[in-house]
Amino acid sequence: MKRQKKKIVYFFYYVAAVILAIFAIGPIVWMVDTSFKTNSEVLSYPPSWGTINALPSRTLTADIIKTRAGQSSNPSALSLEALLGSLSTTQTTTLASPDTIAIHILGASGYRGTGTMPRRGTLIVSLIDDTGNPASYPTNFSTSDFNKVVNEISSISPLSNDVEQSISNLSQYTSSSQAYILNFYDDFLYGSNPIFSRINFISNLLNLVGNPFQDQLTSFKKGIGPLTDVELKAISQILGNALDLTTNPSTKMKISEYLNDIKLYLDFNQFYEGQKRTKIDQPIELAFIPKSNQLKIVKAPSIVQSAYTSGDQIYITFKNTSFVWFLNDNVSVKANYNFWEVLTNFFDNYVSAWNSAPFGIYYFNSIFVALATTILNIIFDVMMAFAFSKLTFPGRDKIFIAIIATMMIPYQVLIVANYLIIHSFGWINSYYALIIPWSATSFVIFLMRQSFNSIPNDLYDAAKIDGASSWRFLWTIAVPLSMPVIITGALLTFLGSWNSFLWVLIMTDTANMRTLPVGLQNFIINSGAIFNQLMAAATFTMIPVVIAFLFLQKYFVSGFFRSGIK
Amino acid sequence: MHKRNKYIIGYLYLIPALVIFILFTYWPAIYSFYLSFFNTTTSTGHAIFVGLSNYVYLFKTGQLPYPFFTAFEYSFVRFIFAFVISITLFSWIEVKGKHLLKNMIPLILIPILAISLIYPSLSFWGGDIYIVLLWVLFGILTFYTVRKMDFLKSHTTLFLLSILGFYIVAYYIGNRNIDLYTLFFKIAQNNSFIMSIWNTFYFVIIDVPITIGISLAAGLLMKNLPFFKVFFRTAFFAPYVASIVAVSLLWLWLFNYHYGIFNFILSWFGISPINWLNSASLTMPTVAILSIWEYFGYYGLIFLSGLQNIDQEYYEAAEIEGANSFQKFMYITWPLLSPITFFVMVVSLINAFQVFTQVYVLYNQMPGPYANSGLTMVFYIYNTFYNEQQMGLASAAAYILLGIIMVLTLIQFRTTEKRVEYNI
Repeated sequence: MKRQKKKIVYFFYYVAAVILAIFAIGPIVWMVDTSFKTNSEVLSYPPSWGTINALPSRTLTADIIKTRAGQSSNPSALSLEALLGSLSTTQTTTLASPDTIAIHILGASGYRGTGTMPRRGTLIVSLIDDTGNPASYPTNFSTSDFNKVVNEISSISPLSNDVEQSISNLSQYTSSSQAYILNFYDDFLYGSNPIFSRINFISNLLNLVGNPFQDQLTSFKKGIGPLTDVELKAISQILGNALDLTTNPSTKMKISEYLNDIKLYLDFNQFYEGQKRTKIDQPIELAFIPKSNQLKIVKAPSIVQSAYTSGDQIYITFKNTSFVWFLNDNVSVKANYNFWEVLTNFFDNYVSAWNSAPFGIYYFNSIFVALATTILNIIFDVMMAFAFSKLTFPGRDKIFIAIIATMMIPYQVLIVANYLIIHSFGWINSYYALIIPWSATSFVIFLMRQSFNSIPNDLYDAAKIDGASSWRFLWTIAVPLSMPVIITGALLTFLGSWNSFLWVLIMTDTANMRTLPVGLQNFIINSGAIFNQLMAAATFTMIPVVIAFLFLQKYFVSGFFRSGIK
Repeated sequence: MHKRNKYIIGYLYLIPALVIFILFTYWPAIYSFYLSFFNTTTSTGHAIFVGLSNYVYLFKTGQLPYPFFTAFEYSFVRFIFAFVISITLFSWIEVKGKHLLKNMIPLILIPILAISLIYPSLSFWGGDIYIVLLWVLFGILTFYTVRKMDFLKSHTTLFLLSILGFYIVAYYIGNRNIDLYTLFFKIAQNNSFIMSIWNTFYFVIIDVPITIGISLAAGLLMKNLPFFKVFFRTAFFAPYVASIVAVSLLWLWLFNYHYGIFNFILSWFGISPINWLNSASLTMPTVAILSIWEYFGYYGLIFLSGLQNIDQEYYEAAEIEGANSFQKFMYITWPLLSPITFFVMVVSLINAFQVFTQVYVLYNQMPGPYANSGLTMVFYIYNTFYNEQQMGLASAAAYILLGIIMVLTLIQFRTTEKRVEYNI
């Protein structure tokens, strides 16, 4: 019965202990977890534990850049001739680089937001058509067929104003089939204000034919991107019915204009799709080359000539074919990494955080200052504590109380005067300012005195009789006997110095004198809210000390027990 | 001769540490006191003696909405109300419901004083005469009731808390616009130093009791768990080791409004996201949560060392007598632990008054998101000294901080002195 009760009590103890432990280490675990994530994973809600940085392959969200503007706005996409060409003629008439396809990589799939792709590993780029099959391209394109189609569609009338204008504009490109195709699709589907844009085009039709077809037409407003061929065919069917129903001649005229628009587009599109006869037989496999914009072609169909990358985009240049044949296609990009590349991905945030501020200098400064402070502290504090404990001289206890009283004064209170004093010594921005004022600590003196008090006076007397000086007794007998407390004191001063912030902030003003906390604070200010890198920086400033101290924590405990505060 | 040599050796041992204490503690203490009487931002570049005007400047109140004395009157009435109710309550506990007649006087006075709160317009009774009357009544009452109360004497903290509680009740019943508290808050809107005192006290009041509570729980758990003691000790202690800048950075991420883990955890309980870092009223609580997390393991270890020092025999004796865990805690652990509790209270209080870095990092070098809601006293000193270069003013503010810490520590010493029980 009683044992049963005790078990229940222990159960509650453990529940409480686990809750407290989660409260204590949960944030640290979350910090380390975040430091390995990609940008898009950090900015995802709900938060997740895992990261694709640990995986050997990932799917990247990618788009083919289909617009005229997108093609010509990227100067790095221009070949030299094309660049010169673009300078000599007006912008709209130039096709930036007709043989190069630009693919915009948005980041890891499944997550919101954009992310930069790691510039390592291999990319497997597959161009696929609407149905999910590999995309195809023409092998022997006949210009005469092209001219025939252009003539055919030019003869279609009546057309709506937009289309009419677009066709007359397009006539200037008839000499270059590629420019014609790009501009045609730009006008009709992919440009900034395309003719077959889902919302506008359907709204125009709704205004025109009104009630009986409202429901049927409205359903086409759902969906993403411009209207597809299938949808356009269905719409032309509906318009055909509407044409039969209306009696108003001007409405009839308008409807037939729209019908012709669609027919024109579908005719041209049929010709375009019909030309694509050869399938791309295998995915394009590209490998990053370190410190280079060029991509190595690992495995690719024969039409691929070269590939390079810039920013978030990759560019693939074709032999004897043009990117305009892939305008209606989609792209899927998969990235593969070997073991080392996975490791590099995994610690990517650490590397970029470390490189974006002089953390090496901060680390050195922190270690140097903390070690120097600790060593001086041990020497000075041991001496003072020994004098208070074992030596006799007038005013001993009064001085001791005066030293202990300084524990009550926070150093921030004295920082103004201290700044002026250190300034008058010329120590601002030097190691002296960080070390010397902290080389004696009243709390450590108090701890050590307690410990020395527990050494019997007889031992000291015996040593004196044997001819040992007080100095020798101190370092050969008293100090070894009080080792745990001295280690505790050393750890306390090391930690105090390592974590000191306001003092260092005020006493230093250049990067090469800053210690880690102030350096980290500067990094926060300069880098903005990139939390994965910030957490990486927090981790590498925090973790070494945390781990070291967790191993040494028994000295903290034993130090408090032995001499501590009773 | 020999004796003098011995003395000299003693002093020689002191010299290195003493020089450092004199140069960087005692002398700065004197020097900043001296500085606090000077204006250092003069056009000529020379400091000018200005007497107490730095201190006067710090407490400049500006235009008051009503005279200080009016606020005092209102607060005083509320205080008496709280005091009388508390006294009644305590005397009730003291006699456990018996001897009602003896304690009748306070019971009769309560309704009268309560009515005075419902009619907050004091002029109803003719202002100042009324206050004098209350003074007299108050004096008689105190003398009459406190005289024989042992229970009250042994539970001073509880009594003070009860007064505070009833004061808050009175504050919310009556006219909230007129009160010392309200007046103080209104002054703080115009005077950033008073604002900083306000914020610091707010922080201390949240931080210190909760830290002590949690660290005591941690200490008890570390002592009583049969297995995995070291694991839990390590876990609790880990936050203390990390630098406060890194820790604040970490909590900047945890507190993030959109993607922070806190708001995510709150969403499990159907609580809508809290804008931790961008709300003036939440500034100090946010900082307090961080500070509690950072320090509870350290104070927990100190509690643990105190608990280890309690003689096991007391518990064995209590067990034979059939005491349960709660009784053992109340009658053995708590009294014998009181020196440690006192030590932790003093240290955590002094520590809490120094809050600065957390605010500095969390709010991007600014004192809070807006309206100076995170301006603590050390932040004020830092800002006046480092950004505004007003050494004299900063020194005066520093001395006031020091004074507040000293006074509070002394009060703690005095109130806890009698109750701290030492190991036999």
